[in-house]
Amino acid sequence: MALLQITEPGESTAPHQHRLAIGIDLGTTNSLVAAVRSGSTETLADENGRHLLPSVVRCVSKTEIIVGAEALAAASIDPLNTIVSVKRLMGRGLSDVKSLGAKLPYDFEENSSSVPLIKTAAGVHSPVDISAEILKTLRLRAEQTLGGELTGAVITVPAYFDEAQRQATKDAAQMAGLNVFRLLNEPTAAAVAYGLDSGSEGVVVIFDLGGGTFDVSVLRLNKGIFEVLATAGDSALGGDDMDHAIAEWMMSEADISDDADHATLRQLMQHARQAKETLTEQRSVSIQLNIDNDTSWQGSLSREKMNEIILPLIKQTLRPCRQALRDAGISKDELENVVMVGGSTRVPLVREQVAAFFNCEPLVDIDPDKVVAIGAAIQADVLAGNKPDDEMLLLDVIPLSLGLETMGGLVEKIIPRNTTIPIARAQEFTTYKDGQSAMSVHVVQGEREVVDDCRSLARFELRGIPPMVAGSARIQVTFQVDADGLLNVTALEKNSGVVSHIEVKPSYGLSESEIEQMLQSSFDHADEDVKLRKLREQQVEADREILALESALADDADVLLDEEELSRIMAALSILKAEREGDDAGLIKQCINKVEEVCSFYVERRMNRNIERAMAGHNVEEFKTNLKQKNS
Amino acid sequence: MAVMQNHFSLFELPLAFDLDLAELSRRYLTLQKTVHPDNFASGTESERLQAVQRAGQVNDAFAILKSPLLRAQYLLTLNGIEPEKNATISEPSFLMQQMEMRESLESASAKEDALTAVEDAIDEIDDVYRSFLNKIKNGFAEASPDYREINDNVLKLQFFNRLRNEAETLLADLENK
Repeated sequence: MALLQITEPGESTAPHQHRLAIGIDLGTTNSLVAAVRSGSTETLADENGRHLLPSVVRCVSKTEIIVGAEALAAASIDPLNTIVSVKRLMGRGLSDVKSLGAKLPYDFEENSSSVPLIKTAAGVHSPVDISAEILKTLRLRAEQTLGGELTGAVITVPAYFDEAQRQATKDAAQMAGLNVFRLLNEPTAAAVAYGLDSGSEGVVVIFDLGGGTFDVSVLRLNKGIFEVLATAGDSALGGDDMDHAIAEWMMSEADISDDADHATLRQLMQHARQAKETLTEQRSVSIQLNIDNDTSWQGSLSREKMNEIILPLIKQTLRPCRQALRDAGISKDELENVVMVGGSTRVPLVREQVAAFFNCEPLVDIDPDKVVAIGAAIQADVLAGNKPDDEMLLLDVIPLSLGLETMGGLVEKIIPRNTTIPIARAQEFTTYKDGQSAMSVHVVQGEREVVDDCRSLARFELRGIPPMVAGSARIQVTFQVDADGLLNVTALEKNSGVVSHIEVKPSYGLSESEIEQMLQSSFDHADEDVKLRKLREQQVEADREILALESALADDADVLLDEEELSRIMAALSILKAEREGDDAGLIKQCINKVEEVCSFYVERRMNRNIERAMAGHNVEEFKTNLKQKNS
Repeated sequence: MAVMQNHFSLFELPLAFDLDLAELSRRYLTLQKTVHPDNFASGTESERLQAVQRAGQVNDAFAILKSPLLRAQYLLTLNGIEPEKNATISEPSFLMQQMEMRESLESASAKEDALTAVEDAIDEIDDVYRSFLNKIKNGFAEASPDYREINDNVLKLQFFNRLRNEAETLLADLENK
């Protein structure tokens, strides 16, 4: 057996090399990718020098998919095959999408799947694989610019995204071939970029109004710790809605009926958006519409009139602001700053209303389009391990309460909103029939008391409960929310210690097999052998495991493991190393699992040791401070 | 070995109701800096799993210890008194008091200057809340605490906590009108 080279403490096992990591802001209207390069963080441009990638995908044919500005340019000539604002569909059900109704100019497939499927010239696509195309474009841009393979990515999501929307985003990133370090909330990402830049301390509000989503977060900033106190928002409110409102005004002025064709509707939206953007600088704008070959309309829109049209939408942002402050237990006069994020905060009326509400002039000096991607890149750099001495810590919260359906369609809250994550809460259930072996659990997310008013996340079937008299089984179901805001459920029968099998049926998500199928039939599978890709994935995973374990062993194997334990670990490790060179992805996975299993006690010991050290260090610090106080 | 016996020992704090919240908060951040899963983004699968679990425990313990109501309930549980889910209080004077406060909140929301009236009602609730909190604090501080009596006061505190939440919702609705 090849023995591990034990290095001296403090000496690293391999010379440190900068690992490539990126931050991606996957926006409703535009997306961006950023990275830390030789110390400074910047967004990356395409070969034409453009940083913003319009979040638009045009499905021309099975072999031709266009993403970005070129796709956007075709939006009104090819509306059915050009998908815009796909973020609004992420993690949504077909019925939600229908309630957005006439506003969406696509052909949806009427099917049994819970996920809305869009019919295009390139076949049927889900919002997840459309988003994956946008992410893939950014991944390729980053690989070209940075010149190498990426270790991982931080992808931002609106803080107010529910679990289904987060899961959909993560699925998209995985389909795009990205290793997701973390899903990071957009306002938190902005706070990182802003806080590290300004060295600011105290409580700040991040007001983030994007193309399709609105978030407001209250954070406490303190020496590299970003603690989210509360977050609130509306995951279907943004600049898009302003465009719709302005387009509706144009339709009534120009006498265009609601059932106008897709191309006209698209044209209206583009004109509305242009008008809104022009009115940021100017007092009035003239609009020229060519409805068809022989009809056209010309008119003008003043800033005052536009303000009147969009005011109700802006007022809608103030309610979440109030709620976030209340949940955080912070009053307006305790705020250090209000920071504006998102393209829609360029609208002068938004700034005026926010200033009036918070009673202070909001900060607008950082580029509201880029700040989220930059914050994500900074965190990606830290998570990749490029800053071992960095003291950054992000503590985020769950935006909406998690609950369970109880008798009579009511909701019992398990984890209330604004609880710091990760978090685990257990709930005990019992059987109501003799010998009952299964039980179903319905998990929902939202603040309302009735199940139907909350968002259905998943139904779980607990099976394999050992036969017992009614009421005597004690089934403990643990709900765990990780740092990404994603839910994981485990169940245990406490009397027998039997772990129940849980079958997850996501209400608005894709099952493992659906994702698999999509990967198989993804646009460019011709040039990407699925099998090879799987092998590559497992090799990367194996390398990661080997590297992490070896550096851990070098660190503390001598103090934490006896000879027998070390040789057991080394044995599993050397088998993994050998199989990693082979070509059987399944076997590599098995070996990784074996190593994980053999090492679990060691991981636990290391964690305990770290905690002991941290607390001891803490006590020493405290002792010193006390001493100082006594002496002074 | 840091065996997680209870939430207090996790933070290496004495088992007591009276707690230095600033110190609790400092220790919380120290622990999170150590166990947060972001420290293990490039680690092994089991490291990441462990980290999520540990960070979850730390967050859960912190949430309980920083809230006076939850901390009191937790201490009672440690002393063998399980919180009853649908406990009722039959003490006439308390029943009168809670009825009056509920009525004053309702009439406040119907007044012309409802916002100020509801805010005043909340201040009133807070006063009563604090007085029960003091009783609980003193109860725990005694040499041999009467846990039954403390439990009674915790139930009352719980009631005022609920009333306060209702009042806050009312206030939010008024503000959003």
